[in-house]
Amino acid sequence: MDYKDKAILTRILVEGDKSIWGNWSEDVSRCHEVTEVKPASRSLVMVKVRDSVSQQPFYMGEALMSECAVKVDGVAGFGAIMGDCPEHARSLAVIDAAFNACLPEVERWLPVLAEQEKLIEKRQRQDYAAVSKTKVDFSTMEDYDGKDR
Amino acid sequence: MGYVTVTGGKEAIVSANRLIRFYRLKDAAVPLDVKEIQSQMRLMIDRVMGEGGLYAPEYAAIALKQAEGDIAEAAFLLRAYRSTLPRSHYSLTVEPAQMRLIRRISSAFKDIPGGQMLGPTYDYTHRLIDFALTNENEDDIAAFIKDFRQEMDDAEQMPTFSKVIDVLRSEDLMDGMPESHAEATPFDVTMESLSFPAPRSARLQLLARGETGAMVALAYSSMRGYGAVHPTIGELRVGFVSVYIPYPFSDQAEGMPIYIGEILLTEVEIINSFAENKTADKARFSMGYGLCFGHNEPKAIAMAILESSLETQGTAPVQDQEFVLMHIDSVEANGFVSHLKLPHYVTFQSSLDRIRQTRNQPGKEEIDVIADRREV
Repeated sequence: MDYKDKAILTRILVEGDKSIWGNWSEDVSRCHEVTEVKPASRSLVMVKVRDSVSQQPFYMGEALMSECAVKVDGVAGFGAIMGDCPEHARSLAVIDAAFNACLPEVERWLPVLAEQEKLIEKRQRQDYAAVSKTKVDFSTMEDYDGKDR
Repeated sequence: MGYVTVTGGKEAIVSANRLIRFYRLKDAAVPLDVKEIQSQMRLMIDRVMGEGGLYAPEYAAIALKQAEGDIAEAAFLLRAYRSTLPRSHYSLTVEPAQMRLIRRISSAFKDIPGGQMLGPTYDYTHRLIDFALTNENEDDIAAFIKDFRQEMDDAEQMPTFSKVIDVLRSEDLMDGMPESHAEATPFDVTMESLSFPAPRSARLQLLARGETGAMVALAYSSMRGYGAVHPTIGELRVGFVSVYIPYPFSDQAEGMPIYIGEILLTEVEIINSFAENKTADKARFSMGYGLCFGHNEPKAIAMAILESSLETQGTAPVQDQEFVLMHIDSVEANGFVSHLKLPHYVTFQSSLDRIRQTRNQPGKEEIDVIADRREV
């Protein structure tokens, strides 16, 4: 999996085991210079959605998010996650900066990311499997399209 | 009309604030755990978020606890909190068509591509109070969850589901896709002052954060005859959508999307009678669209009916943009009604003076009463 693709990397970091990312962030902070560019804080994201009639977007409302920007050895990183979890956003920013800086730690992280990605996918497949048990097959008691009239 | 400030009552207000806390807690054996409110009152949380216009389940739970379960008050708290935070980002356009589904039904077709899934629904339950819940305990919960998880299979893959409406579009029975797909910047009712007629994006934004009860009542009026829309539900979906924002750093993959989480949405596409589309070259069904935060099916259905209704011409209340859009906001409507509880001593004294004057001038009562009504 290409973890340079930030959409893939951030999905694992947001949905995966937060305690792992906290430990990684602390490891990086011990061995590298970490400075805060934008301290971890709460903010809002306006959610833009597609209207399926006009195919044009509209704003449906805002969502609470936490975000942080840091530099690790002078290289910038950004972390953002929905909800009230600024500390987690900071961990994500440190990990993002570590990827941008190609720190040696990153190689060690890759198998863990792959494992987490599998766990996320498994969890979502299980959720779907539970929902799919409610699949329904309605039958009509007689012709419903008027052909018998 | 002007306003006259009142002063005083500081000690009484402080005492009233302490009293309301006392009333919230006086019979409490244990404090309500906010996490339990969030997880076990999910439909109420979803209503608060939808009507507050802020997706924040944990804060909606706190607001509900603080408001003693008053949804309008909790939505007000959430809306007020929202105004204290900066809006740092706009999401990329979320595509509800790619929803990770927990429920999907159609009232139009019994067989739809991918099938119908009832999901978590009360639609087919008996409306009988389950008195066993009175004594539900931690062991019961643990045993049920354990059994349920043990029965959970692992699906081979996550399917995607095409829209039911697209089937009708492919047969040219539905109003088609608009030709231009270039994205326009939506109107933002939280930033721009609204005038009528409002653009479609503004109408949808206002409906998406409207009050469920008000919207359902207005939609019901349309179906009972005070309007032109009595639809069939082409598709109702409940599920999670991914939210992405652009990566902010110019030297590192600027603009590349980053994932920040999922939100639960309810989406409804309704099919309206083709007779309503009189200007088309061929008879086609027209469509209505509803989308709201969380799992809130009555609101999403009502939104689809109301937005369709606002696309039609007529004299029914639900065909009047201003009537619908200015009266469905929970915070504004509740705020205005609640303001009547605040001191109006000077304005009412003025009314008293006038009614006394009127009585002192025989023959003038009727004229003054009419004038009084016009003032209101």
